Amino acid sequence: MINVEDYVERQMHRRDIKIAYARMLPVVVRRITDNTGKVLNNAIEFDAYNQYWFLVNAYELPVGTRITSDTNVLLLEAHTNDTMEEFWGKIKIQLPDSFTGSLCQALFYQVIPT
Amino acid sequence: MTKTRIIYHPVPFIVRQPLTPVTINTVLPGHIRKVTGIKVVHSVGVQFMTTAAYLPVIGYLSLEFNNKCYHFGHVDVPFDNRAEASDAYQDAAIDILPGSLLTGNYENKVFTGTEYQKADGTLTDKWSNYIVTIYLKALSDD
Amino acid sequence: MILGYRFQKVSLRISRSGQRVYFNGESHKDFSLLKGIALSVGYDSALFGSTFGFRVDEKKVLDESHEAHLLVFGSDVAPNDRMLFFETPIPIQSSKLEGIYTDSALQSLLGNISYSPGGGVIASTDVNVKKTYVSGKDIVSYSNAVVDNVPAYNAPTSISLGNGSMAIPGTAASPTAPAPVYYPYDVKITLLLSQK
Repeated sequence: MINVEDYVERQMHRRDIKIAYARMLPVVVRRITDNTGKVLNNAIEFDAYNQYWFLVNAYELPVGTRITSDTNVLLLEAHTNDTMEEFWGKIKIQLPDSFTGSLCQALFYQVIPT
Repeated sequence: MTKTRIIYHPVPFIVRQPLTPVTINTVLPGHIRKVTGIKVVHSVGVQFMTTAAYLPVIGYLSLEFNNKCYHFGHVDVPFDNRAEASDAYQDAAIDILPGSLLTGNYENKVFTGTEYQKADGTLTDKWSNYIVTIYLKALSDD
Repeated sequence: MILGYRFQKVSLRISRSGQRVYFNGESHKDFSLLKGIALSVGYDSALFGSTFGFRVDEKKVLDESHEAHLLVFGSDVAPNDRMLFFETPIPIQSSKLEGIYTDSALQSLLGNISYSPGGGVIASTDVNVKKTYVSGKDIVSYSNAVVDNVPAYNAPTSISLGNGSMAIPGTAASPTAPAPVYYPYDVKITLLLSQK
């Protein structure tokens, strides 16, 4: 398992970016259905402009989850390994249709550069 | 004495599945000093899936230069099999660190229905792999 | 007295699918800059997937996987604009000009399964695997030669002179070309030379 803080620290150092602030940040995606079971919403979209978000728990998200952002697109598949994916800008987490639970938590390491 | 001169550097990548994003991770040749123009074109493959000669967007490409330090942004990738397809390059002025990474990702946006990839993930015979090429107009000093 | 510009032309004949044709030449001695390049081909559909590489004085200008259709301009473009212009003109002085045209080069890569499941960048060694320039000194007595299907280092043994007359049907590339391409066809390369 990769140590998140070390990994991010090194990444940012290599790119000559100074970290002003960093923290773990969970994002909960809810799957909302109406009485008939029709899915009203199973995605969340939020702004992460001028920040780096590293996905920490890819292995906990359902297969088929799609996370898009300005700099990265990730489709979780059965063979996806747990490399840390990086996002920047408008982030959207879309749960797959096959997901039938009510909520799902994506854990990010948020980095705000100086 | 080395002289700076123009060079056109293609970076081709293949798209093999409609839904899976393609990750681009490649090192630019060390002699490239500056990128002055970018053009992204469909090369071959899509013509096996459509009878149209022109589709404005078949996918989106996000590109980063200089070891992920510079996000160029997003480029629409058109399918244009007409002879009069535009040859113009998108302007850019990116100083390139020698031997740095060109990274990015590509998302296919058309041909995503179940007639191309069934729910169990297998591809149908309507799908055809296709190749997209990123052309970098660059100044080189080799 | 010489006017300021000159269009230098090279003709190649492609006689079968997947064929690779090499040419070399020398730029006119009175001109010092190469400002643009254009291709003209009879069949539009012949261009897609075909590639054209170009070198000046053994320095690469267009990679061998540069698509030919990007160098061909249609009827709705003014004749002045039917060219790929170099914003930074290439200095020449009786320079050696070399090019290599490969018919249907990219189609053969579509079936490649050696990449990750979703796809990815095609290594330049895959793209150019059969398309290395013939060494200039081996081929110096020819201006135009068919070099396909032979590894570059022993190319001279099987070079056929001039407009390749081989009529072997293509086997490698071009799986199911939708529009017909009739072989042989001619490719004309126009170079714009300028005095300053």
